[in-house]
Amino acid sequence: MKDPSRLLETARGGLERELLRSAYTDVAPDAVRARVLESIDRGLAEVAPRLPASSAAGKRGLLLRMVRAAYLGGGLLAAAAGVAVVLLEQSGPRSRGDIPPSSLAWLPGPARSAPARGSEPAAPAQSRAKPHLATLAPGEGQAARGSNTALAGMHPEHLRAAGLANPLARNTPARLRADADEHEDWLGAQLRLLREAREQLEAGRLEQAERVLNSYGPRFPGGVLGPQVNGLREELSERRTTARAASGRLPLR
Amino acid sequence: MVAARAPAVHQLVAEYMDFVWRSLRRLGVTEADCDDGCQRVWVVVAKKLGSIEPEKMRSYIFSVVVRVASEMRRARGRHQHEELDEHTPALTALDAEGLLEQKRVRQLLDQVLSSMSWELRVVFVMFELEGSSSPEIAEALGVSRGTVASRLRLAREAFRRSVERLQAPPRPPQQSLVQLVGVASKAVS
Repeated sequence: MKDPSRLLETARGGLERELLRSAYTDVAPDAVRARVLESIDRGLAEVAPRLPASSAAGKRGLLLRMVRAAYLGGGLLAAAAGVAVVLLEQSGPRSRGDIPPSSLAWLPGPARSAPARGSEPAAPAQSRAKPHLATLAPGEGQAARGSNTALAGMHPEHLRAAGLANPLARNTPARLRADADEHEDWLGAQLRLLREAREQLEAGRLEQAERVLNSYGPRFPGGVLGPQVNGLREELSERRTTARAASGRLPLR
Repeated sequence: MVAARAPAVHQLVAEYMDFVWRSLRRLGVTEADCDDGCQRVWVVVAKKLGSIEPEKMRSYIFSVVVRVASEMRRARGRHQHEELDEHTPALTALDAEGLLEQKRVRQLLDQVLSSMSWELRVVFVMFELEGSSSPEIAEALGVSRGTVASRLRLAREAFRRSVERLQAPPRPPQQSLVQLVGVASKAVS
């Protein structure tokens, strides 16, 4: 669909043209421009700490920060666990069960209550378990898996600081990225929903369009596209009215 | 993180400030309120900056402008439709008095725009005065292109009607009673 030409190009009279042209000469006063810049600087500085309580996006930001803080906080403990595992690895050849239970007593997980017993059958290796873990006894394996979980949740910076290659936490950056993407994609998801509603509407599937529009509020409380959704609702209502009027005009057979 | 956006926001302000100002004014925000309106628009844009696609920046800013202008109008309790002022001088009077300065003409333009409904006004301002395309407007308002085209057609009709009213020649001055008596006496004689 091609846009019609602008009215200014086809204006009939002098006044019409003057009115349209007058809008172009309207510019923001310098004083207002300066005040806006000043308030933006001030606002941005204030908005950052206030974001969590002020909007849904802010709450997501707070959640993200809490998750990161948990990573950082848990990172120290996990790093210690990782160091212990590495030390155990480097302590020379050993047979199953020769690790004194007391040496694992501080590790998180069942190792504290279930010391290693060489007589127990080896637990099936976890899909993500590393070879060195497979050499451990079941109790140790569980303990190491506990540390595995902890390492997986550890911030990569902590692992780097601890001098660990962090083979067990490969999915951590991905998880962080996913959180960040989710945070950034909040508007994108709203736009997708809006697009879907519009497609349904244009395809004449009014019920589906309404369902999609109704899902906007619960999915995005405090969403920024409320006016657009309302616009689509209005259009939906117009189409319904038109459809009813058309069906009313049709002769009954 | 947010504070790091300041340079980007400053650049956007430099690029779009006049657009925001003009759009708010043409959407009925008074000059006195426009300062506040601009700040509200930019604070929203600054907050959401990271999630706006650069090519959709203009549409997004305009959607914020529309929302802010709508809220400000509602806050002022203004009516959606405003008829042209009865005392609006006709074009001839404007010519005669040399009042076609830009400010006066803009006041006239705002009067003409205020005679349109809100939906028509938004589309007219965006298409005719800001040069946006139909897809951009549809994106910003969340309506179909067909709706944009329909509203634009109605808005143009309303605009032309209002301009014609402004251009209508002034009513002839009423003859005074003395003049009438003079004419009548001449006719009798």
